[in-house]
Amino acid sequence: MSSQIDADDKIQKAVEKVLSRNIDGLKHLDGLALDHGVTPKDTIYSRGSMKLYHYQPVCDEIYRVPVVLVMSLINRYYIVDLAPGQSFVEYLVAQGFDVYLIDWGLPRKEHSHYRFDDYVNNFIPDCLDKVAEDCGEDEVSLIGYCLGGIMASLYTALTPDNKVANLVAIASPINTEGMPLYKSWADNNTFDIDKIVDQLGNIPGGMIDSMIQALRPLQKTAGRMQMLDNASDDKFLEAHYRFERWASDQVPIVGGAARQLFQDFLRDNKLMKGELEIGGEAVDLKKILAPFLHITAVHDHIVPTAASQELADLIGSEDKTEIALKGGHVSLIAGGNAVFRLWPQVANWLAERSL
Amino acid sequence: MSQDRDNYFMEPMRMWREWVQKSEKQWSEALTGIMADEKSSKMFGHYFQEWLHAQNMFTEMVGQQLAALNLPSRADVLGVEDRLGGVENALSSLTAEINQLKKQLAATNQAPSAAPTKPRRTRKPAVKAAIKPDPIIKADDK
Repeated sequence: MSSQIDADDKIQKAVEKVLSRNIDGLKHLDGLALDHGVTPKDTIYSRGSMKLYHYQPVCDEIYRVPVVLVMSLINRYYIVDLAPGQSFVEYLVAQGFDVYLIDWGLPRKEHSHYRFDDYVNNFIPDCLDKVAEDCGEDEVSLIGYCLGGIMASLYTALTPDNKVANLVAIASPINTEGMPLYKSWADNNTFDIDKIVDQLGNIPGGMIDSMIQALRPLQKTAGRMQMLDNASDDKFLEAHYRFERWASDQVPIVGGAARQLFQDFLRDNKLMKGELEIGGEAVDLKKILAPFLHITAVHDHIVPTAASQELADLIGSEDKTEIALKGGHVSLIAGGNAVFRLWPQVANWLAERSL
Repeated sequence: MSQDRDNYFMEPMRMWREWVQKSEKQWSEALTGIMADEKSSKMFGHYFQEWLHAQNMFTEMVGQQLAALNLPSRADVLGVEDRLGGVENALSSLTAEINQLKKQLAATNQAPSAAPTKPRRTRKPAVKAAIKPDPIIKADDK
């Protein structure tokens, strides 16, 4: 009799647990409607699909040198402003920095001819002029995430009288020998990039998503199973949905830049070899003399350490720091532990160089 | 402990989920290794070229059918999207300029005491960081 009661009790508990998971999880079905990019900001400049945001300061006293975030061409900007409390820009603003961000937006077919040359020699300097006009300071600290770090580095290297007081690159790829899958595809002309660009104009976001998924083909499945296990944990689910939405919200790569990415960066590894030309000028990263910080993620599978670790060696600055932190490519900048790891590292490093 | 064990056996799928999570990295690495192999890579290439060719042919074929039925094709819809995007961008540009003009007007027209005060750019770093960063692995230790 007693064992019968025990069994009933166990079954009841198991059923309750399953129900609580699934019923609690139902309200997250519209998880894609979660807010993002909510840190108060003003659009101070807009050109084509690009926007320059200024985040409203919350401190009475801020650091002299403003911070400008240069985002990657292939991701939506809101990875640095995912949600209140899960936002790198919100943290920087709270720490007393005057924060600006360059959002490249969603390119259209008419933008398909844009190359890195246009971004580095035209859009970034244009934005920095607007920042100077807005805040009255000529110098800036540039922070670039992923490919944004490379774009910021290219700009700093190519502009001799540049305004860059400090340069921060986060998980930025430099050596494509460290990205074996993409290198193999580029070497074997798996993707005839000229044919794709000629036919499609820009590389669709879905295609980029598939290429990123190919680096960890089962990660999405494992992530969904983890989600099932945590279906009654509201915080976990919200964070999961936010990441998943951002990851699938890929920006198309403009055709011209895609050609350069595949041919010059991936196949020929020109930046690493010092053979890259932007706007007809050879890029020499040794010309970067501003204080430089490079942060990489130990468990990064998108830009593995082997692909990123040599960036600091190629930079000419005397004041350069390289730090490897726990985390993956995305969790490094937006994960639950970023507030203890990456964010204070960047803020502390910049603080003493932003006076 | 015994309750955990009971729950474990009450949920056979949990074992499967845990196994998938634990072995995901190894399986993913193995699959990625296969995809990076020269033969597989070339196979993907051929498949991709076929897909591009098929996509091109299908687009043309469906486009002709839709035109015959007087219906818009995907290219037409994308064209409208492009034009809407252009209008949105132009509006955004105008909004940004109006905001800047408003700021300038507020600064010139108002009495100095009434103008919104900008934060002073004189901040100095605190002697000690408020949040102690996690232990880091220095590049030299890698």
